[in-house]
Parts: sequence; C-alpha cells; structure tokens
Amino acid sequence: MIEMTKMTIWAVTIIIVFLGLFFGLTSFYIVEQTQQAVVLRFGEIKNVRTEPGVYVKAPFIDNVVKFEKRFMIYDIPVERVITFDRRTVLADTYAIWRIEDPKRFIETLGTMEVAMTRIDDIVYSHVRDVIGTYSFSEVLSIQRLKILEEIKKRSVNSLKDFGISIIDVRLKRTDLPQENTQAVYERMKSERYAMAAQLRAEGEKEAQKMKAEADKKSKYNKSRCSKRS
Amino acid sequence: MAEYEVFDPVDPNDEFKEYSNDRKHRWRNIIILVIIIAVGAYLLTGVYQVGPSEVALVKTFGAYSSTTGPGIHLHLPYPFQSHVIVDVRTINKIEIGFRTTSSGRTTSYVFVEEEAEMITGDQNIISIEAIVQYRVSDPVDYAFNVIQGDDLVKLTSESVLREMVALLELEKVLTTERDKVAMETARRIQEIMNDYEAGIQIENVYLQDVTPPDPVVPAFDDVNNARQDQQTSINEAQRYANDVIPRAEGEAVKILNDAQAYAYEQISKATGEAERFRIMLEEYRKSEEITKNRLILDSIQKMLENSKIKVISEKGDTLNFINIAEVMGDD
Repeated sequence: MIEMTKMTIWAVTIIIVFLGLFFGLTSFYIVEQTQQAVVLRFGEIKNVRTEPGVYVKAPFIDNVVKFEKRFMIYDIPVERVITFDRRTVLADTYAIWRIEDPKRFIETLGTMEVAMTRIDDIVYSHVRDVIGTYSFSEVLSIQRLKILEEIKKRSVNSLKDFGISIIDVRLKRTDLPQENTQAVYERMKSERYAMAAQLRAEGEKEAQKMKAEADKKSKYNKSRCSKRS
Repeated sequence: MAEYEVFDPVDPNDEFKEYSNDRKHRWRNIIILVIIIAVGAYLLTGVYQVGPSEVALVKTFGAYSSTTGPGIHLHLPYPFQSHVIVDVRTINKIEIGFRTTSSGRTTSYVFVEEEAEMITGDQNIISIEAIVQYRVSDPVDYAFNVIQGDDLVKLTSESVLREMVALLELEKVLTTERDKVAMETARRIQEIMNDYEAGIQIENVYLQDVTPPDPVVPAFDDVNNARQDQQTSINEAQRYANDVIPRAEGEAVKILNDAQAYAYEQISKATGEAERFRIMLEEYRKSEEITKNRLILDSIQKMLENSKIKVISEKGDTLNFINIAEVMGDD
C-alpha cells in the first residue's frame, strides 16, 4: 500500500512537472534582439512586440509569428532597361530593407517569400521608370546618385503601405549588353590604333624636322666659312 | 503478508522477490542517473567558450545584456540567457573581380569578368580587381542590426567602386587617379556602413589590377610601342644631327684654314716676287741692256714652257715644221 501511494506521488509529481513545463513553454515566449513578433489569436492580431524580452500569452489559443528585425539584402536579378535615348543597359540592383511595421506586414504580405516578390516587382518597376527618363550617359556616370536617390524615394513610398522600409537602393552594376560591349571594344581599339598612328607620325615629323635643322645648320656653317674664305 | 513470510522462510518466491527488489533499486539508480545527466546537460547550455579574437554578447530573455571577452564563461541556462559570438579582430577580405581558390598548398586566382569590368565616365570599359578589408568595430551593431554582413560589404563595395569609376575617364583611372579611386571608395563605403549602423570598419581598399579589358590589350600595347617608336625616330634624328653638324663645322674650319693658308701663300709669293723685282731693278739699273735682254728671254722661256708652239717657216718651197715641244724635249 505504501509502495502504491509512493508510486502515485511520483506519478503525480512527474505529471505536474511536465504540465508545468508544458504550460510554461506555451504561455511564455521570448523575442530575440534580432526579432519582432506578432501575436495572433485565431488569426486576429492581438499584440505586436518589437522590443526583445520575455512575454506572456494564452497557451494553445495564441500563436506567435516572429519576423526578422535586422537590415536585409534583397538582390534583384539583372534586368534589361531602356534609357531615354533608346539604348539598353543591364541594371543589377539591390535593396536594403527591413520590416518596419510587423502588423502591416503580416496583414498585407504575410510571409517573407511574398514580401520578396513584392519588393522585386516594385523596385524593378521604379528602376525601369526612372532610368527611362535619363539618357544613357547620365545613367552610366554623372546622374547615377540622383537616379538612385529617386528610385529609393519612390520605392520607400510604394512599400510603406506593406510595413516595409527601404533603407537603400543601389545599382551594383550597370553594364552594356554583350553586343554593345563588343562595339565598345572595337571603338576603344580603333581609338588606340589612331593614337598609336599619331604618335608614330609625330615621331617621324620630329625626326624629319631635326634632320632638316641639322642639314641647314651644317650647310649654313659651311657656306658662311666659304664666304669668309 | 509479513506473518506469512516468517512462517515460511524458504519460500521459493523469495529469491524472485530479492531479485525484483534488486531490479527496482537498479531502475531507481538508472532513473536518478538519467535525471542527473539531464540536469547536467541542461546546465551545460550555460557554459560557453570565447576564442582569442572574439567577444560574446550575452542576451537575457533575448535582449542584449552584456559583453564578455575571451575565455570560458557561464551564463544562466536556456531559456533564460543565451549568447552570440562575434569575431572582432580578424580582418575579413572581400575580393572584387577575382576569387582566390586554394587547393592544398597552391593558391590560384580566378578572374571574374562580369565583376571586374566597369564602365568609365567616357564610356570605355576597364577591368579592375580590388580587395576590400574590413573588420567588426562594434559587435553589438554588427550582430543585431545587420544580417549577412559579408554580403553587405561586398555589394556596397562593388556598387561604390563602379560609381567612382563612372565619374572618371579611362586614362585617369589607369594612371593618375588610381590611388584616389581606392581612397574615395573606402571613404564612401565607410559612410554607407555608418548609415546602416552596421558596426563595420573598412580598413583598406586596394586596387590590385587596373587594366584595359583583354580584347583591347593589344591596341593599348600598340600605343605603348608607338610611343617607343616615336622616341626611336627622334633619337635617330638626334643621332643624325649630332653626326652632321660637328662634321660640317669641321669642314667649315677646314675651308677657312685652307683659305687662310692660300691667302698667306699668295701674299708670300707676291712679297717674294716683289723682292725679286726689287733686286732685279737694282741689277737693271746697273746694266740696263743685259738685264732687259735677260728679262725678255726669261719671259719667252716661261711662255714657251707653258705652251706647245709650232713654228712654220715660210722660207723656201718646202713647208718646214718645227715642233717646239719636241725640240725642247718635253711638253
């Protein structure tokens, strides 16, 4: 009998410990320094936690969805973009972004995958639009910073509604399509060969001049002496 | 139960009871051991080691609370405290335009064309290989503000380098502005990293190889050759001039000297003649007739010496021909 009661006490203790652990684990949640969380009760947003720490929730009923809080890189695939003067450039852009408003984010996008495609669509369309208003040479060099600033501003505005904050949009590469690259090479080559030809000709010219000068000097000397003699 | 046992001490079940009692004890021991191991393992989640170049950021309930240096440390077990380790001393390297691939002892470099080739301000293409060195300067910012720190530096470096190159002309990037590009790039990347609060310190940007793209290299080499050729032509001309002018000067001096010598000779001759004449005059004064005849004869002789005179005598019927030159014996 004593053995039996002992057994039951053991069993009860174990059950209580397990239950305690179980409820403890299901009714508390930790938000890491790098995270932010949204608490959902049957799909309805109950709470948003953007600061790290330990929080209480109702076990089973409340579901916690955690999101990244850090800056993330989204590398947009290379796209062919047409400039104002109808030339094609390959624009390779990337965006630095973070989830600014997890509530809005979960309402409008839900998952990171959806967010990525949305960023891709929006930033790409702005890249195309903005580059389309500048000429080829402007895109390549001088106006680059201004263009980026404009793309960034537009992207920030469009993505604000999704709880996403665009920190930066940058052009990693603006390259020419392969066929244009060949043309540039050809032009560079011809420029160089022209330069080489000019250098050689200048050398010749200088040489001729020096030789003529020498001849003149020698003749002059000779004749001057002949005259004197 | 107990009474029964007393009356029958040699119960065949006794051995079994002993055995079951023993087994119960063993089970209890095993359970206790398992519990101890479990608790020990659990407590071990609070032990952590930090390497010599690292720091550990301790988080209490997920929130950053303190930083510890190298060594072995203890914090509260999961889920109360946890830690992240960040390397703060090692200088990380990012390669642009090439990759180092080391297999065993040999390291080789692989050229990455699409990364190295950039467009310059005058719409030429240049090939640049660069290295960006960075380290973590603020582990808290680095660990908690950015994700993929390495990629972040890489993408930023690439984009900034292109930006810098796009502002300059090809010739300048190749020559004079090369160092400036590296410096400006480093400065700009740092600015952007500071904007992101990434906790990253850019140590250095080195431009390893700045060259025209491969297909254009022969043309660039030709320009260099042309420059050599130009110098060669000029040097050759210089050589010619160096040869001709002194020679001419020498010749001129020779002509002058010859002329002077001739002049002197003429003068001496004339003086001599005059002297002779004066002496002759004296002789003449002494004996006028003889000297006069001698002078005439002298003159005739001198005249005849220099000419071939043929005398034809008209006396008589036959034509007499005297070749004076023959008579005189020489021409």
